[in-house]
Amino acid sequence: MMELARATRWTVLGLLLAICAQAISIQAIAQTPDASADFPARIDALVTAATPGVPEFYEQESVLLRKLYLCLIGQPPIIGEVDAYLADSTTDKYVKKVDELMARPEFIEHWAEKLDVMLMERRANTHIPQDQWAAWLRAQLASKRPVNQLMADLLVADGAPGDNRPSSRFLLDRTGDPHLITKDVARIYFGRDIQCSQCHNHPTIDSYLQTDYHGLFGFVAGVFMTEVADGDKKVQMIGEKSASDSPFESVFRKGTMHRVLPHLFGGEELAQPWMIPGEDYHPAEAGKPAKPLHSRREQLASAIRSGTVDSFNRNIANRLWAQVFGRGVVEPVDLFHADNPPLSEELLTGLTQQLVASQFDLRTFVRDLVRSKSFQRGQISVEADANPASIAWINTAAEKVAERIAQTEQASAQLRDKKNASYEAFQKGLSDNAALQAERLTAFANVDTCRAAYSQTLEALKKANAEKAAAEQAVNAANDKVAKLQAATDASASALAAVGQDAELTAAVELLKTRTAAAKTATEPLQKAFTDKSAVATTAQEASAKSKEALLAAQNSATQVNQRYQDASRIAQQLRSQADADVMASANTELTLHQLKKYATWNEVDSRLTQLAQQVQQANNEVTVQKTNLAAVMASKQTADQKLPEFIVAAETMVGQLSVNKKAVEELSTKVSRLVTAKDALTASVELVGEPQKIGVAIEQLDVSLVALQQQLAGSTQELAKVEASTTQRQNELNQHKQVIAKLQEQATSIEKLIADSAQLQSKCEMDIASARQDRAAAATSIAQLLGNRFVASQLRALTPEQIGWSFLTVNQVYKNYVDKHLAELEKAAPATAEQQADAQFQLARRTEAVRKARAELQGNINHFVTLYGAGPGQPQSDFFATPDQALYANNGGAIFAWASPSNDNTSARVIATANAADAAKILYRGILCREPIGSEIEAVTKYLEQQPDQRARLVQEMSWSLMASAEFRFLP
Amino acid sequence: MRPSYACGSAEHTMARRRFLAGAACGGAALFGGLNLLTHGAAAATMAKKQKKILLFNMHGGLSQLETWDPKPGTETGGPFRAIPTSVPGIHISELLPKTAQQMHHLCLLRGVNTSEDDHGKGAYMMLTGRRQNPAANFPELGAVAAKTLSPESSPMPGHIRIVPSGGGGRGNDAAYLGPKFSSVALGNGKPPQHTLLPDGIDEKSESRRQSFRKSADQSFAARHPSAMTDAFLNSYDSAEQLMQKRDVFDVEKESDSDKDRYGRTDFGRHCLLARRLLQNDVPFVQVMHSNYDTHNENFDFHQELVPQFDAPFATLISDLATLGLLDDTLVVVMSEFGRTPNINLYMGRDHWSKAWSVVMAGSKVARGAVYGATNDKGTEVVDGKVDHGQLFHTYLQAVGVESTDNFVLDGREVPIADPSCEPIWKVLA
Repeated sequence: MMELARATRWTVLGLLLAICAQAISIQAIAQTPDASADFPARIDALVTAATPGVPEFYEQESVLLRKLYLCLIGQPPIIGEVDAYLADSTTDKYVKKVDELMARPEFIEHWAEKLDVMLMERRANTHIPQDQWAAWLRAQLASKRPVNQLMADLLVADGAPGDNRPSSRFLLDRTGDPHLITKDVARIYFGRDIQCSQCHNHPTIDSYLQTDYHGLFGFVAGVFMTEVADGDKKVQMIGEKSASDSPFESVFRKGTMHRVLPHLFGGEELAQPWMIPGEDYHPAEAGKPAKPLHSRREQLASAIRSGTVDSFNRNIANRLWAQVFGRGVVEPVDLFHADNPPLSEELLTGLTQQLVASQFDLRTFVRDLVRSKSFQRGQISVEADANPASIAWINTAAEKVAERIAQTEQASAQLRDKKNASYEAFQKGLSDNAALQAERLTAFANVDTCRAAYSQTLEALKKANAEKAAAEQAVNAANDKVAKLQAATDASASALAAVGQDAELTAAVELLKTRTAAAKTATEPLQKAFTDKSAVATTAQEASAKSKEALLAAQNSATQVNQRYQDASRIAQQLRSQADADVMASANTELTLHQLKKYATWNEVDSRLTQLAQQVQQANNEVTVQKTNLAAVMASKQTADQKLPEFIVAAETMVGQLSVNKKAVEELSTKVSRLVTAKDALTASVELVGEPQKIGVAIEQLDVSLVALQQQLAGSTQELAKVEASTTQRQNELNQHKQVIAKLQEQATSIEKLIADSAQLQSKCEMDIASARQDRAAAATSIAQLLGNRFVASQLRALTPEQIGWSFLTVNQVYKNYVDKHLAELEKAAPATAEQQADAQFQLARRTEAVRKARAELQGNINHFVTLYGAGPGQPQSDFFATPDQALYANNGGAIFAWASPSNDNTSARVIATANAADAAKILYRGILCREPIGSEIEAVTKYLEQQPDQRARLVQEMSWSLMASAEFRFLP
Repeated sequence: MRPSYACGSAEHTMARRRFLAGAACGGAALFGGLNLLTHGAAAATMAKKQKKILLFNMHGGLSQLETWDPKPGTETGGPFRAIPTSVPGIHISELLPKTAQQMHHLCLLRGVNTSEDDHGKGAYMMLTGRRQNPAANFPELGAVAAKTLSPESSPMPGHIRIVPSGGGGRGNDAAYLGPKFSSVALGNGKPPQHTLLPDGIDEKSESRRQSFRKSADQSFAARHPSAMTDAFLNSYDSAEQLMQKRDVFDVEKESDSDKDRYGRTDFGRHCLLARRLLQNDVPFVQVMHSNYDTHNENFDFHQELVPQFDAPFATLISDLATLGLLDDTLVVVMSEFGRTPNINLYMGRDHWSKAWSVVMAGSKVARGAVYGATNDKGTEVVDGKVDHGQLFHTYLQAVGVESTDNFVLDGREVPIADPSCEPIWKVLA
């Protein structure tokens, strides 16, 4: 009967689970992606579609090889492998290399490290030792356990001793704390950092609601860590309480209580079976915590296993992509929300579909990613000076950018209004539900009360039954005593009858009779007690049955209220989806805007530079023209300067002549005036002397002379006037010439000023150019980063602490030596038969074992790099940081320098053995950095080796160290 | 010349949402603005006087009754007297005669109630200003100070712990602020690890291998300009400077007279080293004094331990004041909790977090003051009750950090101190 009831319940439960799974799959994924499409090519198409028009540059072969090695097996190739790869001329060598690396034991080793870091974030191994956990992860990867199954296992692990105990590390090393588990499951399983939402809605991310936190929390709220005896020892295990929701309130809005059923991020609540106290656990198993009949964490796990939880699937696709590409399609990987949309929704959807279609097979997925052309892209230099052709596309991309920015801004503003309106509608939807929510809260609380009451009646019943049983036992014992005494009485009476008269026997029989009667009397109160206790038990039974009825009634009524609530909240959910969609659309336009603005900045700086260059050219031309002009003017001036003395002499000569002529005129004038005086005297003497005739003759003679003289004077005066005119002319000519010279000087000066101005303009332009170049370099870096962010170009990324550690150990073959040593030891311990030698499987197994032993031996070194380069426990591990203690260790720790020392045929040894410095440089760069050195690097190596030729080994070790300690070794381009 | 890519790097570390919201770089501000932010601000900080915090961690639980809040002559008071200090009216335990003379620099908070009697949890609360929560981890005061007070370009570790022994490594006390702000432990006052050239590398080898590395790094940085490359190159520059400044950590370089003044004890040397570090602008130094967990023979132990603390501490406070450092340095003396007023059967005092004392001095803290009080027997706070959260805010405010602001980490805003608490404004001048 009991069994049947349980079976029925299980069917009901199974049905419920099926419904739950259905409920989660609102955004169920099409299970049939285009099988004919080559997925790597589809990735490329999606990446290109998200950022069209960018030229494709591919990474140089050996650098790509390093990237591929680090990505797949966590360590770079050794020099021999680089040589062989470069020498291989087959066209499919890249794909062959991918498969070769994925078949190596290090693939599993490395991806187990990655999964460990992703899942545990370097938390301390408090309950599960690291080697057991890592071995478990490796075993999962080796058996190709689907990632979703593996992660679901972690959620339901109980930690019971055995092979699967390590799977409980996720929960145990989080001390089984439900809130910590909720936060980490939200981030690691669902890509949502919702820890703020434990106490209130996220202050800046609208879609991180407190109800969602508690929706997820509901799945694990019953989880706890408990100590269970395992033989003599006690071990920590994970238990789960049945049904445990509790109301919560926002710390910002105290007083309004909420209560939710388990659900995922805005999805519908999952139906939960009502659990009846006393019937809610599986029968206890020895050495294990009791298991609830309905396990909510199992509900979550089975949803994840079903492959229908879109938020989980997208997160895993994104996280695996980020492992390979160094950055998520949604970045940061734990901030999935509408306002942080994926770089390309189509890309993320495509990846997710592929992951689901491949049954969450990590290998298939990773293999597709590294085979894509996108993985092989190189850095794009957008420096015009470096390669003018490589920037033409930006100018094309930036065409009409101002107009497009304006359009996008307008669209953005509209979308912003729309999203605000949708959010308001959603909030209103929520408040419309407030009454129902409160009603449900009361109904659920009522169920809680009834359940508690029923539990109490169960306790009372248990107690009553125990007392009844005790009373019954007492009655039975007493009855037994009576029966035994009766039997003894009968036996002794029968003995007395056989023996006949016997006083002692008669006394004994009497005594027995008395005792039997007394015993009989003694059973009576016991019998009564039993009857009483039976009545109490019956009453308790009735009370319990009644209480159970009340509980069932409360449950029924809560179910009905819940149903109405669910129906109503579907509307709010739709409004929320709409709001999210609008927020995402708005965020996308802003993303476009951001990209356009970057192009615009580039465009602006670039055209500014062009203008400036033109200005410089113009100024330059002007200077040239003006310099020619100046030369002509200066030539004219020189000629004029040369002629100036002539004019001066000419003018001065005329001045001399003028004075001669003036003197002559003066003399003549004097003579004339004296003659006139003489004539006047003669004329006056006629009156005195009275001899007019005689005197008249003299006067006449005088007149003749006077006339002659006057004529002479007139001639001279005329001559003087001529000379004077001539003098003035000469003077004028001199002055004019001087003016010509002055004018030429003036011209020269103004041309010189023009030249100076142009030169000043030129130098100002050149300064502007220098600053514009800096701006353009910044814009270039910024665009390069944008392109890297959008996967159309590779982006610099830092190696993980494990990758750095294994790289140090690899490039000079320390690692190889350890593996070889263990291979030799294995071979020595159990030499391979000829058959085994030919058996690839055997060889792989042997190598896997040797690799494991070598790595176990070297792990201490790696742990040291993890402490140096890794973030703190429980913190996100992807943030880059560089601290002086890392550099101090590289400088002075001694280990890296020791690993750079020559041995066997490692890089350093090969460099030492190479006489030609250029060849030595090639080996050094190929061996440590997987690339060919450039001219200046060869030169530097050559010079280094010349410093102390007798100390060649030492010098090579130093250079090896330098490159191992350099930035290029720390990063992946 | 290296291009300015501050914007790109900011974008790298900033969640998309945040910069989309226009809070950070966008459009026109793309170049000039952020450049200023990264370089200008750092320069301005450097120009300012470096603010610092010196924390005394009295490990195990210092008795307030044998130190800052004596109750002589009561049933809980124990055998020691209270003595007057340099501030009339303020009395402290006779076990602190030298410190009493420095009282005019100190501020006693006698109303501390942290309600946590577990060593680990109490220490966590006092150092992080928050109650321990398995679901979240918070940075210690030292990490917060290193992040908020260190100049961007400083080669010196911003967060130093002087511990009695061991040490050398990086502490795990910066939580989400990242390992850059984790503590560097100086075990028994020894300089940080790996600050000396290893055996077999002489100056000549060192200089040539470093210059080879540097030229490789510079050419890489030119090819791959990024904030990460820059940070990597800076880490080597800092390492180099740290090696040059190794003496800063070497207390032996102090004069004999100073060594005598601080006392030739471990704690004395640690205090002198702390002074040396503060003089060299290290923003956070923690000195530990151990072990005050005196469940047995409380009075004997305090009689032995407190005087060990008293003299060097008083010398250090007096020196900081004389050197003018006290104006920029906050000094805190804390424990994980105090000790019970009740004296147990073994003449010991047990864990007690309901009413105990913390001491602050320097920077913006009121001088020669007492804030808060306990009742006659020291069993309850009757005035000025404060807890770990308020204290944490106050420490930061005292050195000019707006403790109610948020850190922005990878685009996420995280409150600097517990947002449900406020600073104790009354003790801040």
